[in-house]
Amino acid sequence: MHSVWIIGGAFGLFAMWMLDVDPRWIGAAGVAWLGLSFNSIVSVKNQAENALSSVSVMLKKRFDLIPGLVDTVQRYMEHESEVLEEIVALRARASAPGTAPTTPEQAAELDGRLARAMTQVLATAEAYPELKASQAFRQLQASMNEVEEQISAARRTYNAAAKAYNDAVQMFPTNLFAAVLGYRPRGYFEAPAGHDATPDVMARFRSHERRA
Amino acid sequence: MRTPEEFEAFLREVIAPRLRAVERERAAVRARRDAVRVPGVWKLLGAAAGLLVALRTGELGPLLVGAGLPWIVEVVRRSRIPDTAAALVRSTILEPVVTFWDPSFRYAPNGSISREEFEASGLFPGEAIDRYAGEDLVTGRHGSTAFRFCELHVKRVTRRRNRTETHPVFDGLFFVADFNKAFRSRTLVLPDTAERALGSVGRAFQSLASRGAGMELVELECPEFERAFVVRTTDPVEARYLLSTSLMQHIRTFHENTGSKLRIAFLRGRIYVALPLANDLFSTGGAAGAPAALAGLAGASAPLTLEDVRRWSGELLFAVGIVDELDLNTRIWSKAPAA
Repeated sequence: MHSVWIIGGAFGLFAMWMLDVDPRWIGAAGVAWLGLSFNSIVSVKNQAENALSSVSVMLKKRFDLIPGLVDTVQRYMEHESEVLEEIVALRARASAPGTAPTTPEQAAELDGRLARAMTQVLATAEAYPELKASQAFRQLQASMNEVEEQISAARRTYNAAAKAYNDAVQMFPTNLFAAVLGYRPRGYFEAPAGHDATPDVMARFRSHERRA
Repeated sequence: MRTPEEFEAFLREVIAPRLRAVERERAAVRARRDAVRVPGVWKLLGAAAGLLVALRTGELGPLLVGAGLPWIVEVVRRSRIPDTAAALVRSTILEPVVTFWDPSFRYAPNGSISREEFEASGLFPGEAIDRYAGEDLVTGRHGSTAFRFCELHVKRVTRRRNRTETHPVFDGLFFVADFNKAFRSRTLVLPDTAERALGSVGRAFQSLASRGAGMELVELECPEFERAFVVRTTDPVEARYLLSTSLMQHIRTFHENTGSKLRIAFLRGRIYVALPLANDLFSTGGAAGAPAALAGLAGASAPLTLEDVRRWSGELLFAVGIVDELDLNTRIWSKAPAA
């Protein structure tokens, strides 16, 4: 979309030159065009970074649900300590300065593992009628549904902003400014390779039953 | 919700006798209006007197006054006789049909969604509203979703030299419901004309227009949805939270089924839908779609039949069914249904 205005501006300058407009005016318009073009690529870069920070905010909301999830569930699901421990560990890893994700790819990988673990817990809860009936669990389930959709929305927003940024970095004429500024294309939020298979929740549940 | 078989029994047992009473009342209103007609001889005398004065003075005015005055008097006298038949239709037929489908539904024939709420929805940006009229307000709850809808006629007036022109802004169904997700921003889903006509140049202009209105243009992932609609919002993340792929699909299907220029707004926890209609809501077919009240003033009209009542019922269920079309009763998030 930005390229429409930039290319339009370039044609405008060309038209001014063809019409023998005073060179001082062409120069002023050219400077303005350069400034707007430069600002446009900086703007799309900032939008992408802002969108990425929105994803982090939404992921934090999910992390904040974890203590409530563990407290609500562990009283009923005594045999699911393994998956609950995994969730707590992933949350700790996401929060710690040394291990927290710094790129979209890392955030996507951690996000994927945590989402699958939490989905496993919710799916396994289907086998615990008392847990399913509890008000606290129903509210938690609603909050998790909400947070998952908000994370999805934040990811979609980031992907749209990243696409606009990547278009500016790769398409003429803004790629010239991108090369000068050292801008590189950004990755998108995608499911990490090898993590697409739905975990067999009931097999996991049955293995816990056998151990009990 | 009731079944179609129960509705047919309701029509036979409750509505059919009332239709006969309505027709008797219509005949009585016509008789009362006929009784105040200005006799033809007075109309002729008035025209003749006006013609004589016009010939003497050379002015056209006296002829217009002489010929027109008896007609004006007749129209004024007829209009002072209230159309009690139309009121009877609304109270004894329309209202029971509305409450038949759900006792929680309420019908107010002269009720309307307020002009302030209509303007606040932002569904017609840049349009000045000079005339606002609404009627046939229905309120209620369908499943977990509280809703209201009414028929609106919204117009803009322009004045050029000595001429006043009226332009329609919106004529149709205006629907408001409690949305199933909590949100704080404003998002508009409007018919897309610029991008369809001008491609990426049109999109660039849409982006400028959105910024001018303090909103951002949102590009969504569904190409078919993008072709049909332009989305503006004050919060792009929240807009995508509201417009999930599932809801976009529902909106597309509803848009294709109605074949109209659908407009949707998300604001203050509610969804607003503006659906243009070719005919008035709950109209009688006999007077070419005019409301029952106007049909009386327009002169003799075809009697009301059970087919008219079935059509009204269909219109009511269509409007209430917007809740199902947009899947508003799916409440798996933390927002509690509005009271």
